[in-house]
This record gives sequence, C-alpha cells and structure tokens, in this order.
Amino acid sequence: MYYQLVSVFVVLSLLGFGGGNAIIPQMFSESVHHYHWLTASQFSQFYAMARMAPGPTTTISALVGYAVGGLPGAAVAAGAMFIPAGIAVTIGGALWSRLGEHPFRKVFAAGMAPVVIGLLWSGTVVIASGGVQSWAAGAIAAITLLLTLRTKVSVVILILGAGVLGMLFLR
Amino acid sequence: MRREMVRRLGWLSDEEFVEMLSLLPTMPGPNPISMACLVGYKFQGVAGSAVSLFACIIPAFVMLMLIAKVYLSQPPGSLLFSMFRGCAAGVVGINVANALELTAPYLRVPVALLFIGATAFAVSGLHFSLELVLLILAPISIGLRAWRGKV
Repeated sequence: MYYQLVSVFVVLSLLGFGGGNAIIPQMFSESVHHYHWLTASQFSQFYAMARMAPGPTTTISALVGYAVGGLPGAAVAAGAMFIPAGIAVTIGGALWSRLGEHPFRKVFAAGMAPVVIGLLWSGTVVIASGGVQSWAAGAIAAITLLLTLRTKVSVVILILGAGVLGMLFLR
Repeated sequence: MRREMVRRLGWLSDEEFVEMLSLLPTMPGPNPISMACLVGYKFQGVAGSAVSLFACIIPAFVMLMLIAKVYLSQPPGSLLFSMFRGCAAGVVGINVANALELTAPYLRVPVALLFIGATAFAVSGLHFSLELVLLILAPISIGLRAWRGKV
C-alpha cells in the first residue's frame, strides 16, 4: 500500500514541470481509475480542500494518502510528492547557476507554456467530472466562473461561498 | 514573496530574485516551493533547502489532516458533505476561469493554440500519460520555439 503511494507520487513529483496543476490529470487517473483509492467526487472535494489550504495544490497528495492509509499514509504520500522535486530543484539550481544566463532557458519556458496550459484544461475536465454531477453543481460552477473572471474576490472566499451554496442546494 | 525576501529581509537582490524565478519553469515542482528550496540552498546548502521545504508544507499538512479527519468521520448524507460537494463545484468554475485567462493571450498565436489543444486532447481524449506528453509534445513545442527564434 505504502509502496503504491510512493510509486505514484514520486513519479508525479519528478514530472511536475510547470507547477502542481499540470500533474492533476495523471494523479486523478492513478488514484481514481487505476488504484480505486477514491471516487471522482471525493478527488474533486479533496482538490477543493487543497486549493483552500495555504501552500501548493499538490498538498492534495496528503489527502489522498490519508484516505488510503490514515496519518502514516498522508505523511508517506506528501513525502513522496515533495522530497524528490525538492532534491531535483536543489541540484538543478546549483547546475543552472553554473551554466549562467543561457537563452535555452527562455525558449524552454516559452515552449512549455502551451503544453502546461493544455494540461491545465485536462485537469479541469477531470475535476469537473467529479465536481459537477448535477445541474445545481453546474450552476454553482457557473457562478464562481463568472465571479473569478469579473471580480477580484479571493479563491478561498469563492470556494467557501460555493460550500455554503452546496449546503443549501446539494442535499 | 518578492516583498518579503528582497525588500523586507534583504536575503536576495532583485537580480538574484529574477534569476531564480527564471529557473523555475525548467524544473519540476510547484513554483513557491521550488523558490523556497533555491533560497534555502543559497544560505545553508542542502540543509537550508530541506528546512525551507518542510516549513512550506507543514502548515498546510496539519490543516488538511484536521479537515480530512472530520470529513471522513461524517456519514455521506451529512451537511458537511454537501458543503464539500459545493466547494468542489465551485473550484471547477475557478479552474475554468483560470484556464480561460491563461489561454486568452495565445488566441492570436495559432501554433501555441494548437499545442494547448493537442495536449488537452492527448490527455483527456487519448489518455496520454504525463510521461508521453513530456517526451513527445513538450520537446516538439520547445523545438518549434527554438527554430522560429521568437521568445
């Protein structure tokens, strides 16, 4: 069990180019479809909790680990999620700073950007598959969509507000 | 982050901050955490990097464990459960908005749009793994950028 958690999250950790949201599609397919650790709906709810908490969204790894194996599972999953990338960044940072201001860096970032945005869309699709399973849920999503585009209300307030609407309409 | 580290604490110069920031897309991991590791490494080497990493994660970890404990102790029909389903629906709208806002600047850049669409289709439609995306689509996109010479 712990071995499975480690094998999933170490890979995600090292493939997490372009930030945490880019790995959501793969995390979803591994933990929902492959290992059946959670349902799609639970995954989306965990994702919302991780978005509300301080720190990066990849802390969802701790929640998945908790669902699988309680507190030890959470610690194992979070360790597997954050330590390999931390080591890679520390080594990478030391190497890059020796290379200096190489133009490849900018080309890499510019070329990666569309791919990362594509992954973001795919991540949104999987979160929607678990988060929007009724017309009422769709209406709540439409409201936060409009408020995000039109106002500067913080993400935490929006998610909590959606939670209140959920208590009223998603019984 | 810049305000804290550059202006208030004086840990980094503006140049160093921008330099580190420009490194982030070339490495795995969430950006704020990677940045913390880089700054930690600059001061105390590997130990500094490790301390920064844990300091970034621990508060969220404790908070989420408390939420998870309460959440999993609730019966499926409870009010709290409805609340989290509402939160999940809300986060979908926020993510669609973010994805739209990030895509908007590329609406006049057909090549970039093509790669956004191709990646999303490959992952959602063809069930490409992340490994395949990073091994096939990312190098082509980066290669095209280098070839066209525009940054």
